[in-house]
Amino acid sequence: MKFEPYILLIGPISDPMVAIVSEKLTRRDCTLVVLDFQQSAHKWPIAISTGRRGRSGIFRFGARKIPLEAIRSTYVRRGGAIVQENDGEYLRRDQPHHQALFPNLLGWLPGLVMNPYRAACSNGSKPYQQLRITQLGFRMPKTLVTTVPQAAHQFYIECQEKVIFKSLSAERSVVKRLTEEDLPRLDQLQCCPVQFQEYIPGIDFRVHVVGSRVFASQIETSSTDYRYVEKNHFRNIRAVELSSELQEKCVALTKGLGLVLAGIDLRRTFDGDYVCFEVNTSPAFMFYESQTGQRIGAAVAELLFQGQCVESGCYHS
Amino acid sequence: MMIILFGHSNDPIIRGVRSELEAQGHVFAVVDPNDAVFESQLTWDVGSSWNLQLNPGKGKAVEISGSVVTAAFWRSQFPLSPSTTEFWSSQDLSYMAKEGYATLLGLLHGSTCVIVNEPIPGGRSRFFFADYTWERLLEDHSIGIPEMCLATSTTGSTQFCQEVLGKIRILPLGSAVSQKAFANPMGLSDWNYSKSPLCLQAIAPGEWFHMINVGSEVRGGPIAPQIGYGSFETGVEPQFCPSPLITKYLTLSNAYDLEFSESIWMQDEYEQWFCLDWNCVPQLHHWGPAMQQEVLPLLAHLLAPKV
Repeated sequence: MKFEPYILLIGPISDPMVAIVSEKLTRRDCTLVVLDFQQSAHKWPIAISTGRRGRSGIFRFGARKIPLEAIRSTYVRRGGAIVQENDGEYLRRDQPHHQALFPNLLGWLPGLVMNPYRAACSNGSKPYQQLRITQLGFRMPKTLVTTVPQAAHQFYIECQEKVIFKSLSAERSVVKRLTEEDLPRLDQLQCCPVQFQEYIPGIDFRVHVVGSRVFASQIETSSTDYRYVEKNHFRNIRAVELSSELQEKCVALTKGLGLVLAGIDLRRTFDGDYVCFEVNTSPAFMFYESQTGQRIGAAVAELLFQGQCVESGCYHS
Repeated sequence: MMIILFGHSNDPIIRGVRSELEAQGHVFAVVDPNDAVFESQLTWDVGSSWNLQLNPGKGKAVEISGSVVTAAFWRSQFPLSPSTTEFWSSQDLSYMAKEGYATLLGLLHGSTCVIVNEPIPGGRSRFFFADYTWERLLEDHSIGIPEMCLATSTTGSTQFCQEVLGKIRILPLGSAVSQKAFANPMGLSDWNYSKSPLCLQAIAPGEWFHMINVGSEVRGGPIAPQIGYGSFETGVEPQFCPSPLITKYLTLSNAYDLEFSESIWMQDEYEQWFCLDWNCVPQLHHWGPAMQQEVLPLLAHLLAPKV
């Protein structure tokens, strides 16, 4: 029996990444299903069942029934945003029951999953991910995680007062330089660990890897965190071509982390070395596409349509 | 040389392992993960060394250097719970819980010591063996899985029940910890789906086993079929288990990096083995007394420094 291929897009259609992928795929010979899990879990009735022998099954979403074999790929944009509520009161998003749903749902879906759940969670701990990144060949900045004010102060001195601090988890935070004015605040560390890193001067690169395709943007800015440009500061973003060796390294890093789509944050030091700060596992690539004209959304759509990476063999199987 | 037991001191498994380690003369510390990140002095030079001072400024301060830790046993669950005070808003507490999680996940991953049940990003799912990732492995080792359904509504659950043959086993997706949730096991419409989605399994007749592994040591025994609501609370005692079952069980526990876990298996009338359920956080009260007596020393032995 021949099935028309289905592609699942998990996330709100108002999300620019879901929107562009959806737009590109509407021109292709496939059926798109957009699953927006902004409502609490029991209000979007889904059921996924697997057969006893072989992997046949049905994915039900409302009144729709989709044979599992017909699902070619899935793009997950808002994996962490499934909401559950209990008698009108919203549960914490990291509630164990809530956490249980998504890994099983994504794990049971066949075909290419962009990105697989466990791999997508790797940046829930930046130090965890950095250790993996180091294993995969990139240098990481000298990093201290501490609850001890004196240790942070000592690190500040050891790094010649060139230190940044940022969140340890995937919680979005603005990367800031540690300054003399911050030192009295270090006493607050005793309540919760904080991550400090040596400040590495250089030029920022955001590298998007889509399967085996690489899209690199170079960012020049006078701000510490190029995502948040302060008043009287500048930011220029342009498309660049990385060396083939570095491209291969970025593809290997993506694959090594179990990802299909990645947004890699690199900085080129003044001696030409590349330091990797982190890998975004659900990158907001449209910001870079709008600045550089790179057709990242089209590449994502193409990979979803193909259902597998031809060259890198990243088929989720 | 030191062993760290990450968990709550009241946890029966922690208490049991602690007694065994004490009896064997090993140096160890029971560390509540919340204390480790919110109530201690932690200094971690990522990729290199770490130092933890528990109860700083108090009478019984304990200092642990990562370089002397030979083994760690992760016996806790996320999310963490920072102690609530009037100073912190719920957003602050949520942020702190995530930062604490990120710290411990990284610290354990970066440690060079033996880690029993190392936490992984995103956590471990109860029905991981049904993931497509494991399809090839299951095929290669002739491990079957039952027809299963994950449902977030009564409609999904009842449709599955109407379409499959055999008896139905019902499990809340979120937790293998026993909850007497069903007044009537077949009352699918009574289930509060906002609390947890359900996993339903269509079960053929067969012989059931409850298995426990501690490293490569496996203990287990036959149990009564768990039709209706299924949990791990079987009172299993160590008995003879067929060697193909032991091999299949170890294959999956090794593949999933679980040094200590429990699992439910079934062999049908055609002698096909099926993996039905997996608990990554085994509970002492799930087993009979003889099993408890066997497992705790094995766990202590697994953690003890190897000379």
